[in-house]
Amino acid sequence: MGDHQKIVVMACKHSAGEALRELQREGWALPDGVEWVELPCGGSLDELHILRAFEAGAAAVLVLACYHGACRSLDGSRWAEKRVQAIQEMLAEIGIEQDRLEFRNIAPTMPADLASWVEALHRRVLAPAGE
Amino acid sequence: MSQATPVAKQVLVLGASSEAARAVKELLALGYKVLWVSGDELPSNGLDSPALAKYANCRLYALEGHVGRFVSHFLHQGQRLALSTSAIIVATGNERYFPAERYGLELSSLVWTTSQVKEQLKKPLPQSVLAFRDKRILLLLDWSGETSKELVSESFSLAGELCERCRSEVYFFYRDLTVDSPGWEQRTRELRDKGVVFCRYGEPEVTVGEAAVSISYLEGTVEGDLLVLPEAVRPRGDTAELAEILQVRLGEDGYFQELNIRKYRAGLSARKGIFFAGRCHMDCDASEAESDALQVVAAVDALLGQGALEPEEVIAYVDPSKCIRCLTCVRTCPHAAVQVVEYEDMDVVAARVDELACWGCGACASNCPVQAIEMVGQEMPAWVQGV
Repeated sequence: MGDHQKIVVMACKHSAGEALRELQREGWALPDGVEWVELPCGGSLDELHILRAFEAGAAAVLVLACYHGACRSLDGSRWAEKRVQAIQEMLAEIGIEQDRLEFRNIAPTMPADLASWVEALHRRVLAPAGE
Repeated sequence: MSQATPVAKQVLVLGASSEAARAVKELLALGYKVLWVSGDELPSNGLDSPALAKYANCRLYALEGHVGRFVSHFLHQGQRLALSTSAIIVATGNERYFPAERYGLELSSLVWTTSQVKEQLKKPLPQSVLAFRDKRILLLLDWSGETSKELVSESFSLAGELCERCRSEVYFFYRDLTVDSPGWEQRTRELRDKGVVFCRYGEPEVTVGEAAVSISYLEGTVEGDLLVLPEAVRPRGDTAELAEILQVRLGEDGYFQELNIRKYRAGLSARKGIFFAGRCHMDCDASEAESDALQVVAAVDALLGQGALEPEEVIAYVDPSKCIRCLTCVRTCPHAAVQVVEYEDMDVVAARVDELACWGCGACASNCPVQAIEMVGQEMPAWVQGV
């Protein structure tokens, strides 16, 4: 776990991106070690993106996409969720804890939820190693 | 990448509904050239202008191109007709029918639809009025299913007219009357003042006798001379076919469905440049449908008003030399922005993303089995490329 010093958040810009900007306007900042990767839509998430994040040393990956039915590109968030599930199965097969990859639906009006999810993940995954 | 492409301020309006007419009028006022096409007769409502071309009894059989350069193909009086426009407003309205099965009643001299009453009231005096003079009329809404807003609104109008013009005694039966449309609360108050009796029921018992009708409900039994039932609405029979030609998705209810996104914009379809207005995509009465049409025209004007279109900041680009023509991107693009075309300069046939129609969602890129599609303008960390 020693090399695992970051968390990667892959986030749809229409929902999570808006929520993050709302938080930043209020003065909140991403905790140290959290890398934010903004996607044009959950549908553009590639399985390879998630694998590469782990390969690049991520301790955990959080994927955030719109609620199903509220995606500007119709099925983007459903695709994102399916891809996360596929990778979770793969992680289980190779013996990596599945809870290192999370998927959540988010709306632009949920900045408080976003902050609590990121902080909880940060506490769970990075803080014990860092302190 | 971000150079503007000039587009004509020319819009196709589909449908003969009142909201279509409202959209046409507004577009003309904003200086647009309008092609107004319908599968039915078009209303003759004095809309005439050199900038307006009308085509009635036309059938759309194909649509080519994308926003800014749509070409719609119609059959018109046995001739093929191709019309070029920059945007399309679908305002085909809905279809009315009498749900006899749902009501379990046939129409008769004692059971009328709201439309029959409306027609009768349009007849010349005195027969229009005498048909209802001093009669007790039972208007029964929400029976075995919610009444659509359009029919609720018409029932309000009929109740008022029957009271005032015909001196009828009107009982307005309802189950869950939601007066959430602008002005409806006021309308129900005015109807009460005119003498309309509003009766809320749970499970009514409706009896049609030889010479009278009656409704029994929680508070007792009301006998009347005429039972009036609202019709129901459903998507027009050609909606599914039209959706297929326009490459837009229908909702579960069979109507066109606008995108459900934050910062709602009127009638926004998944395809850039195609908009839905009025009753073809929402449950509303005629006046709401017309104000929806005005909002849609505003959205069209926001898109085309500058006379030029620019691509989004992030768009997909297909490398034609890598494309294997598997059509995955064509199928998965939620915005119908991808086609397989011939690249003449390279002498290959490959997928091509229309840069103006692309929303930049990346669905094509992540689904492409040979990584032939790249998202131009999207910033990704270096590690995504591999370590």
